[in-house]
Amino acid sequence: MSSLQSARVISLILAAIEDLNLQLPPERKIPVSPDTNLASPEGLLDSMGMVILISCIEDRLREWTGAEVILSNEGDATVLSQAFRTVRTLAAHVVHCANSTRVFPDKE
Amino acid sequence: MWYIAQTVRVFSRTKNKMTKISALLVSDFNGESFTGYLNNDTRAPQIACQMAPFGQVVQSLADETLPCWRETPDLVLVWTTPERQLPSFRAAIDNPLCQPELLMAEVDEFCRLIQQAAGRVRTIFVTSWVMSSANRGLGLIDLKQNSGCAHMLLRANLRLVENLKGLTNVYVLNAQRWLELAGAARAYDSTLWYMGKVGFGLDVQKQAVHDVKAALQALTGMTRKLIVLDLDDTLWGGIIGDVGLEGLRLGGHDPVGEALVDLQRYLKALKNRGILLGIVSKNEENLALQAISQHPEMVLRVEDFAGWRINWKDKADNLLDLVKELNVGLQSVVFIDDNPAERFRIQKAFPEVLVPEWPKDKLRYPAALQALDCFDLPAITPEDAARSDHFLAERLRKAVQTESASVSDWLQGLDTTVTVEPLSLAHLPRATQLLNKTNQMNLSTRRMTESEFWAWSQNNDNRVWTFRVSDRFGDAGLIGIVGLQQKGTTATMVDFVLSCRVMGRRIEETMVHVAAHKAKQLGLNCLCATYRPTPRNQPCVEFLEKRSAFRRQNADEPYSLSLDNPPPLPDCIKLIDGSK
Repeated sequence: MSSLQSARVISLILAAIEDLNLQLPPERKIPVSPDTNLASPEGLLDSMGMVILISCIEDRLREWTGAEVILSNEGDATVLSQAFRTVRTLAAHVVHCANSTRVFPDKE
Repeated sequence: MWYIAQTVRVFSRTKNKMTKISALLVSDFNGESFTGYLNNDTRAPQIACQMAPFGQVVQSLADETLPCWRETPDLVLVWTTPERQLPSFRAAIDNPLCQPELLMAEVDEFCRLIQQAAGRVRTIFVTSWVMSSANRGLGLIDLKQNSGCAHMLLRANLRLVENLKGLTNVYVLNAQRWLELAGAARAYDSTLWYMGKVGFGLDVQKQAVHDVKAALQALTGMTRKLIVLDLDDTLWGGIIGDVGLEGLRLGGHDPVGEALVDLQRYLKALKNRGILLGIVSKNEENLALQAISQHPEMVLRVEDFAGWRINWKDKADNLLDLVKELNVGLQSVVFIDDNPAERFRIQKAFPEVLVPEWPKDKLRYPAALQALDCFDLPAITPEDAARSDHFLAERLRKAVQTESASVSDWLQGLDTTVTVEPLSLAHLPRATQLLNKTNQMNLSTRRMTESEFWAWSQNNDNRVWTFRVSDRFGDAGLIGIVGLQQKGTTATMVDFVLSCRVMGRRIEETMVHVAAHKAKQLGLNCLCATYRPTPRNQPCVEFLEKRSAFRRQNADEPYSLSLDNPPPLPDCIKLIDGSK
């Protein structure tokens, strides 16, 4: 995975957070930044928000790569709560899931 | 429906202090995303939606002591899925050879719950039932066999709409559209369902928000009433000044010509349900009108247009001039033009006009028109269908006015007949529509549902009369309402509503004459009227002040009129009292 692809994964996650924010009340909107805490104790992401975010990211990955990338780990809460701590840990999780299914385009 | 009046009033006054419509979502899936989208949507009217506990549809609808009913919502949205709401449907999915005799009884029971809830709230939206297109059911025989899922779904939905159509404050929303617009692949989302019990994909929910908003706009009188169209490369292909009538692309064996005929068909369908059509075009008027009258493939003819400005002037000036002639507010106008510069000009000059982005590709024009969701109506009445005819008659009236020596001669020459009748169930849909849509000649701008208005009219202390107007040029239909409330020896005029289409033809004076005589017949000695100002009902106070027999001592007091000497009937009016 190239650094260009990593950057694109981050921007894809940020776009998904914007999607999620469309349905959140003002006080629960999640800052759209690579440094945002998500499901960490300081974060604003609750379990429902995590589900929506997974769906939005999977959707965007499908549009980008044309393939199914499963981020939910069959609902394993331990794995997910770690993966969704921050935008950066989430990006690493997305890259891991995508690499395990070899879906990233070879060239950007 | 006080919230509607409140909403309309507050929206008109300020964007910062909007009154929100309170709503309750009753669903058998997790509706948190949907309520989130609904609450964050900034289009008017704004909504504050709460969720009843999901999965408890029956309890939520039946038990008004539940916490979710603590504050009665203005609107209840009932969004359920057939597999969870109808056990027989579920059984058919599990066992395709089951005998689903109970399906209709289950739908009836569901409708009974809706009916029960409808007695407690002002409006209920119920979504039609849908199923995933991934479910092939019995495949080839899914529509043939009684236990086929598709077969059962069709029957259940038909029963649902038939059962609910008699409830005037219940509307069934077509959820199938939302799935189609979202696309089959995005209609359902396994991650959302299995991890969050969210019943539909996010795009379906966004489409649902659109339709809920459109429905509420219809119910709050925010429906757009006038479509103003360009001609060249909008209504027909080509520039008539360059190619002449024969060179226009319209109909024939031509994809663009066929698309433009379809566009005109859809426009005509809107006109037939009461939306006015107008033209603002930079063109030679004679040439353009000749094309409209004579081109063999034109679907829209001159009589389909309520008015036009075809000249070389600025389109913003022309638009303003046209809406004044048609007595339509700018917030009721949709402007369609192929030229982005003209669209920009209008949007900049009149932000309240809806100026949709118009596709470059003419083949996409019909779909662009159909996608506009601002023309919904809570009911279609004969008056709607005849609205454009009224403007044709109005042009003839004006022609006579020009020839008449005075306004008085003109009014005499119209041979106007006003028919007054007590409000009846037959007139209730139109009367309620008039009550909710009329802004200018409206004393109190009350907004009510049919059932609320009927209940008010049936109170012993209240009386409602409707007014129909016809003249030598046509029948305008039911265009006025007077509602009186009796207290002691005084009658208070609660509603004084007159369609702007007939304003200024002494119908106003006739209505006051009738109200005064009716009050006198009831043995009362005074008729009062409390004017409630809105940003748009200035014509009403001008009438009360300058042309009516009402007087008031100061601005804080209601207007009053002694019934010792009630105002006479205008001599240009023939009155028929249908209550006798």
